[in-house]
Amino acid sequence: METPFFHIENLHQRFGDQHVLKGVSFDVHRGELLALIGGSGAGKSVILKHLDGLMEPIEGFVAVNGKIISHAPEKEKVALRKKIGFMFQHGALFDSMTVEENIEFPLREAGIKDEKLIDERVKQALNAVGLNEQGHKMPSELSGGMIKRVAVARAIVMMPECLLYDEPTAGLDPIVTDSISYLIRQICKTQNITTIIVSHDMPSVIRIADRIIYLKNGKIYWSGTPQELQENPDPILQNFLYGRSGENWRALNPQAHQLSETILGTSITNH
Amino acid sequence: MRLVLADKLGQIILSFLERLGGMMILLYSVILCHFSGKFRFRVLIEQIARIGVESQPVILITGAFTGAVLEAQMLFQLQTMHMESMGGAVVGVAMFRELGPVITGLMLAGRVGSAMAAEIGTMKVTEQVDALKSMNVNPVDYLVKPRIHAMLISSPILMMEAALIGILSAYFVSITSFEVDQAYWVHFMEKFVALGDVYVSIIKSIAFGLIIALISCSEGLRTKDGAVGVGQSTMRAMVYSSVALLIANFMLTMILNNLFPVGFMK
Repeated sequence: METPFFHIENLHQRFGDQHVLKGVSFDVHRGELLALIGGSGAGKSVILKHLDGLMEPIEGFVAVNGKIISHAPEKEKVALRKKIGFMFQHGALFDSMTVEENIEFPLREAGIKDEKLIDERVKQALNAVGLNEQGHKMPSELSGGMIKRVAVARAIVMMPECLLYDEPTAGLDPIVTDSISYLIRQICKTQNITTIIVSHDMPSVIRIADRIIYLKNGKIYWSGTPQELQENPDPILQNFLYGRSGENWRALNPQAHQLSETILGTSITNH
Repeated sequence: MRLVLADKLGQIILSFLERLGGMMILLYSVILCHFSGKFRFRVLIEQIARIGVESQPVILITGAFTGAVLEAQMLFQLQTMHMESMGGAVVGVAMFRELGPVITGLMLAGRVGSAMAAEIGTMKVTEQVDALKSMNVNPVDYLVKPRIHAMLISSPILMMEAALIGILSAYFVSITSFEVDQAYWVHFMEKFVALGDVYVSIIKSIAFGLIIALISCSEGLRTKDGAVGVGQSTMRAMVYSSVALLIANFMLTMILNNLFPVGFMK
């Protein structure tokens, strides 16, 4: 049987009194696109940081290609991070650098001195995210969608084996959300890059994910395919999928309620 | 009531020790980075430009007016004893030994230290520090080391400028407003200001530069809780640097006056 790219075993994490992760275990296979979903504070972003070795679990471990990296020496983590690209929630671009400088930063820091190669890689990355003409701009001159695209370009410029996306479509309009989601799926499937995405954007998740894990109170509540999620009658999953808080909106505004049901219904079922 | 007070006091002491320990660990990490890290010339030059070059106006203005007001105040007193020509000696020694380093240090704590804490703090809360780690870049090596180097280079130069312009402005005040004989003024200044005073000022300014950079970077890296956290870190960096600088100044004055007494190497 093929060794999974990521093997997460009984992961526990605690911040002060808050027990954020309470024994999370799952595998991610090479080339798979996994979506981690769940309410705010469920521990999704914390899991991503464990996968990149940015956090150490208080119990359990993360293995990459069969090798345990939790509590491993920094040297081993350096080797691991070369295989992983990370796109942070707000892009985390360096404000003092231009778009091009941001994208070439990991290349230069990795010790690549060949200017021609750096130039070529930066152009490829910018091309992949459709921002060929924006290289000279500063991050402050970009829109939210462009910042996310540059962050994707910076994550893929090192040609990683795995990409981690922390809420890549948060705060974006529906059209930009759609194009970013398409980009994530395209990069994953054309380059066979193992991809993990943390998102609250259910239409995008349903559309692009191969598998979904729903986290609740620091534990895995449910796991399956997008199809299985849509068909699952569990009210907790259905409420999360369709963004229902349990409040009686029908009583408050019947017409608006009807309209929102129609929009939500079509947005999920049409894809 | 007593328990509450004891609890508060305990918290303050623990917080102080935790911060001090954190800073010592940061200093140790910076030292280690000299063996395992990278030398980034461009980043260092950028920091020297920000700390050294952009601080020139504020340092020069502060130094000039500190020297001028000290000279004026001295001359108001010395006039009564007909010792006006000694003004240069007093201002020279004071500017090099105490006021130059302290005024420069306080200005740097306010202008540069707070900016360092705010910049690093913002990077922390916007996950740019995590982004550095994810790209295998040690944040201490990339963010802290060049800032400390830039401070160690810029601080003595700025201090020297502040002291010299302070003495120069004192000279102008004495000959223009108080009509002191310039030959005597210069003679006594030369007689009493020694190379030891310059050594003291350089040692102090290097120590102050290190203190400001270390505290400010440490506070920046400890930032949490978004914009409010950045504001608090900035405020803490400035206050802690200023207080630490004044305490360090007293200690250094006591030590350095034994090593380099006034009039040393004359």
